[in-house]
Amino acid sequence: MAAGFLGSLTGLGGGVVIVPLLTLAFGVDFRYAVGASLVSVIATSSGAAAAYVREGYSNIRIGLFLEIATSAGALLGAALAAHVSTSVLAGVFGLVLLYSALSSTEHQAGAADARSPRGGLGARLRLNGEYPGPSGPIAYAVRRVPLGFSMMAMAGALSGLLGIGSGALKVLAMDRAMGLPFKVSTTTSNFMIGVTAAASAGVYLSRGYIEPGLAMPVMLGVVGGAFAGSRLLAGAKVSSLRHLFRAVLLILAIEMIYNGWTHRI
Amino acid sequence: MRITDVGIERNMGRLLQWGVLLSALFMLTGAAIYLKRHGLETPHYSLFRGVPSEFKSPAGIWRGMLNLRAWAIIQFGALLMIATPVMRVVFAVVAFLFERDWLYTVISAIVLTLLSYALFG
Repeated sequence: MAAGFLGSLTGLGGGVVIVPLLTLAFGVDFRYAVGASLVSVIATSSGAAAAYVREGYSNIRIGLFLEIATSAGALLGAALAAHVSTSVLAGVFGLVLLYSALSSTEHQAGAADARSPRGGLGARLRLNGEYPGPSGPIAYAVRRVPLGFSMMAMAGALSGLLGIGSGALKVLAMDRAMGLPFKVSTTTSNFMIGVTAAASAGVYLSRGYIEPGLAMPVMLGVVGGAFAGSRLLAGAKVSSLRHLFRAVLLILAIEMIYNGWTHRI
Repeated sequence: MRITDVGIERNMGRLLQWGVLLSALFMLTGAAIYLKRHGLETPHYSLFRGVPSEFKSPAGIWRGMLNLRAWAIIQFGALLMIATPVMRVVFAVVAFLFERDWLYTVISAIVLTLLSYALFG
């Protein structure tokens, strides 16, 4: 069982794959699946972080600032999860997957827009930064902070509700709304995912949704995958990353919605 | 400012990796003890029962640990895993404090408050 998770993790938050796999393929109850997934989402995030950090892409200030929104959202989502039926959760899950798959299709250029205004809220919060390019550091500025902030709150709520890192939504908020370079978005989102998931995992733990026997094999499998996956990102082509991302999401979305609709979950 | 930031992040990265490894180690230990005792029973996770209350709180998990209960050791690993990002935020609060970056000290403190509310609230 643990081995099955190893391959599927490169770059994704992980939860987006784990929850459907556990519920659809192994027939695990949705709440157990979410609990196990949250723990392994943290594992992915923390395990990969060290390697990302060495590359110097992630922006910790942006991460922490937006984390206010996501952890608040995560608390809300986790509180909500107890009161919603699992079929509904599956449906929402599917829609989220579908949305993230489709919206990353529309997105072409626009990232790494260095000509964004240097003033504004982003500068006042000292969110602007730089990342290592082929020829020295490349500076970037942050746009539309309020929009990104509110998207993050939603990402947090979904994370708490569905046990995903909602990395897709986080990357979307930073990449598209805030105009950050793609690699900065993915690595910063990776940092944030761990913190967000910790917020919801705390709630799930105290509610008894984290089952040791299930969390353990899932997590051990994921730890291996995360350490391997993070080594790939620095060299990988952005476009091929996006394509892989989209294809996986699309397939899972359809399956989740179908199963939620027919009340098989 | 940028240079110290990089220093912070590098140390954080190392902290996180240790947290994950340690937690995985606890899980493996617990798993080994469990498998030795219960071998090949098939678990039933399709039925939702909730976890026994002793594994729901940090204090309960700690008590089980002292009795070498396999489940408690695994759950402690999970708890440790949850604590890792929390530690990272604690680290950030301290680091920004040292940098005298008050704005970000406050921001990371807010995040920390939310997190502790989740775990203990």
